[in-house]
Amino acid sequence: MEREEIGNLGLRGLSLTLRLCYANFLVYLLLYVTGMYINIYVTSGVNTIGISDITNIVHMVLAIVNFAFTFVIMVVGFLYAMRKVALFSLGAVASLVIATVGGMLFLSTGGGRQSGDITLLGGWVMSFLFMLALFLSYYATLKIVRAIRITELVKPTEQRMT
Amino acid sequence: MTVQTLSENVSLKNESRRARWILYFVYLQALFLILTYIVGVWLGTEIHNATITTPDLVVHGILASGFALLSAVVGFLAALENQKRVAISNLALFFITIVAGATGFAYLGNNSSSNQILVTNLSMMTTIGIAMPITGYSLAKISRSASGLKSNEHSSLSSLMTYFALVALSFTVIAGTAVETIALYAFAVVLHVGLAAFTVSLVLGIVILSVLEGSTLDKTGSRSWVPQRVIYSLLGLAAISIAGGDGVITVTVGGVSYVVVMAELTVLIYSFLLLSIEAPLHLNLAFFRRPVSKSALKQQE
Repeated sequence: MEREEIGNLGLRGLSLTLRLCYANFLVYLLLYVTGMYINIYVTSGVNTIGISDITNIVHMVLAIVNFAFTFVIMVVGFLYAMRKVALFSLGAVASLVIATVGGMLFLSTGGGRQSGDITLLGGWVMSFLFMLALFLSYYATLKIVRAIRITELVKPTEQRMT
Repeated sequence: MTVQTLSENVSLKNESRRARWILYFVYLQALFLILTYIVGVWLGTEIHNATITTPDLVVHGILASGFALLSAVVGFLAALENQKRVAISNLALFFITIVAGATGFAYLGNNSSSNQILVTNLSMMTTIGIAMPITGYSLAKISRSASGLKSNEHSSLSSLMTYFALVALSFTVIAGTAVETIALYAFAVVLHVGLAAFTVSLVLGIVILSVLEGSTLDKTGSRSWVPQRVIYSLLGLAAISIAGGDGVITVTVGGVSYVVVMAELTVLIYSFLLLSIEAPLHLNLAFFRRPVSKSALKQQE
């Protein structure tokens, strides 16, 4: 237990942050579903997608919410002395920034599978970095769960001492 | 000193340090709001047929995203620090900003439709309008806990009037946006001018109340006068007066460049009102104040 990071957030704050992580995973899931819908049903053939298509707007809004939630978890990690949570979330934030650039590239260069190599490259960057961000967010959540477990274990001992 | 009081001191110090961090985020949030507003007004008035790759639009998008992000950060950190109202208002602001952003995306695909332009302009300006009093309220609440004051202590009258002025200013901005729509023109102009006049009177009220605060004594027998608040509110009054003059020129001469100037003056008013809430850069003016005589204290009792 010596090398565990529990930070100075307290049990209530940790639980609140964990709920945010769960909400973030829900957003990741919806982001994946809308992304797949665009990939399979919209741009699978000769069709292209524009910025104002409703599925695309939903996908972009979810991307913003996802980025904001991950960023908030990173800030909490830095401010409340949870270095690993902060660093894993920082990695996820960086991945999401580059993935967004990939998405913008996809939209601005045609927005379809047959629009050319740069459009495809934008799509690949988006998908690959989305998975990396999900993986890093998962590790940050694991660290928060671990901090909650340790705080719960330590608390009754402290109460007995007082 | 007992172990309990020592730990209480440490926890108070930690709370104050974290509140100071949130305060920096609120300042940054206000800065992003100002820049998003200015670039947005510039885009709306000077650039036609903006597309996803228009550089000004990319800048506006990044600034608006930064603002939404900071609203989420402030909201969640406030929730962690038990500042319920600040948390709820900022998280609501975060979601409203995202909805306004979505109308912007829809506008990019259909930028010739007058209906779409109206929806985009009004939703974005309403977001700016809602954000103005929320950032002011957050700043007031968080700065109180950063300076170690209890959040349930009553706000001063001048602070309350500043909230009202921020609300009036936000409604003025929203009514000003509706002026651009032909169907709403006459109603919006009357509303905009009326609300602007109301804002002027409220800012004047802040000046008067800030001066009057100096004439009363608090429980410790010292005067609670903050000269910086008087200066900031006077500067706000000057800015809103110039904005009024600019409005008259816009109506008589015309030209969208005057609208951009009005927007810039609006953010000046907003900034001065925010500064007058928190009144930073306190100078030590103790030497300037007259010592309170015992008879004055007795009179007040």
